[in-house]
Amino acid sequence: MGFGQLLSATDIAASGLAAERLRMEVVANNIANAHSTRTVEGGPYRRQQVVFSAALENAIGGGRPGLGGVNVVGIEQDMAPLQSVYDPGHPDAGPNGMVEMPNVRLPHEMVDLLTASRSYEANLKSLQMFRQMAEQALGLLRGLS
Amino acid sequence: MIPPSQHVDTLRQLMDVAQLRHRVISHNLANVNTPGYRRLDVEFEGELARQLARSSDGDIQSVQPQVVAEEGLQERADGNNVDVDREMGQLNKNATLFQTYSQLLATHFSSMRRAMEGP
Repeated sequence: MGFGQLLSATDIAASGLAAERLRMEVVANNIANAHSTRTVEGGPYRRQQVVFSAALENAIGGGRPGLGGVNVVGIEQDMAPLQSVYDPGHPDAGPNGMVEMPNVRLPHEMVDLLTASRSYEANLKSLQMFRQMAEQALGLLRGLS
Repeated sequence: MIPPSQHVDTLRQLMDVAQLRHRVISHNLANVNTPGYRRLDVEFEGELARQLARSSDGDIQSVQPQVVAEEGLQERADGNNVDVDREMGQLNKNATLFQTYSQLLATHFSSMRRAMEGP
């Protein structure tokens, strides 16, 4: 077991942990802004989502596809239509009493949060199991001394 | 029957493959939410069995593990075919195999040491 590879297994799991945590942060931000009608860009808040891509570095060492875990490409705005709600008393209401509200839908965000936390746990488990495996391999060395 | 002199090399190779498979499964788990991602797998045991079937004392070291994309699995709407529960099962199985190999290797070393130390 090469030491470089040993680190790489940890790096792969860590990339998954970081990506899922970022997703949870974005979900939290969406939920917090579910009723924000004003943003710096003007207009109501638009739901944000994280874009992932598989990090497949090309053939590092021996033609095998590199296993680089996951990359966060960026955070993009969801351009789905905004919701219009009738609320004439709202400061941002139009002349017809309609207010444009963010396109954040709470059930969507909760599902996203659940899948993110479940994936986070899976990555963490993989990290823990790898540590056990490394300890077993080190145990062989201990037996020889 | 694998010659005793090849025991250590064979177990080392099996541990290497288990370690590679762990990385591949980790990579699958990290990409469970990447749209369009296809699950990867390691092909090794089948080829090893074929090599052993050809000649009982064949050159096992020549069998190299291959990382391949797995097709034909059920995929989600976003084109991703990773199933977390399946990956966790594979991860458990692989870790148990690794434990078995390292235990076999430890037993092999300790019996060799006993032989060298004498009565």
